[in-house]
Amino acid sequence: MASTMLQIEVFQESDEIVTSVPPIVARVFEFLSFGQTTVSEISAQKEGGILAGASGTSVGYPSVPYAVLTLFLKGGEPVFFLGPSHVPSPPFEAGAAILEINDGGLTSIGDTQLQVARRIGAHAYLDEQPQP
Amino acid sequence: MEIVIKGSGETVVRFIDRKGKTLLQESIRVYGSEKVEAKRDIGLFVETSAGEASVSPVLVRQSEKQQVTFGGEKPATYTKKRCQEIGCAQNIVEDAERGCAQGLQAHVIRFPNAAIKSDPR
Repeated sequence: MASTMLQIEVFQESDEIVTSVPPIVARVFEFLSFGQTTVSEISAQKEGGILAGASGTSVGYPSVPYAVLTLFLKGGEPVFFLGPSHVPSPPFEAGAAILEINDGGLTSIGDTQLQVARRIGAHAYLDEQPQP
Repeated sequence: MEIVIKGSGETVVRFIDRKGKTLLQESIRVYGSEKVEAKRDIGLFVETSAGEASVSPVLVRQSEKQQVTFGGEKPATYTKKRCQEIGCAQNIVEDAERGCAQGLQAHVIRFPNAAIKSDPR
């Protein structure tokens, strides 16, 4: 059995004069063997966030990024797996895997200054049973 | 614009305005097999209190075994074109093409292990 790890982390930091913070969407990609693939774990983490105005009020966004793993089966059909998940999935004959993380962006109302320092990350572990 | 990263490691990109000031910085760390590939779609404008600022990405760091492209081109090529497009002075264009961009001026939120803050460039 072969194990595959997909892991990505984005650390985004702005200067204090910005009034918009772009969203984070990042993907990490691996080819698989079209053997029997089991998703054994999907995990996501977040640190920091977005502060608004002189008061330093934190702006409400989820405490963990949205993480989704997509396996592409024979013929290109996608299967989605939402994280976090720590139990093995059913096996699929997959040829590729994409792990995507998302965290929202923001444009302030008026001239309110924004400061962002956020680190989001996710990983997925896959176990592949090669074709006989 | 799409940033494509092939291979494991850390990539640091700064987004500078026409005066060479860094408005945004991103560190992207990717781990997997030798063939792992990552993609990040980024905008080329940042809203500031002075209005919308056009920015150019500058690749200031990448891991030794990584291959990075900006919009399908070598980062230096893309950065030079974009810096000229947004009206950077020649010395800023040359610095950015070499992967040099000033660090962020303010760090309101501090992380204990954010090594990129000590980058002198």
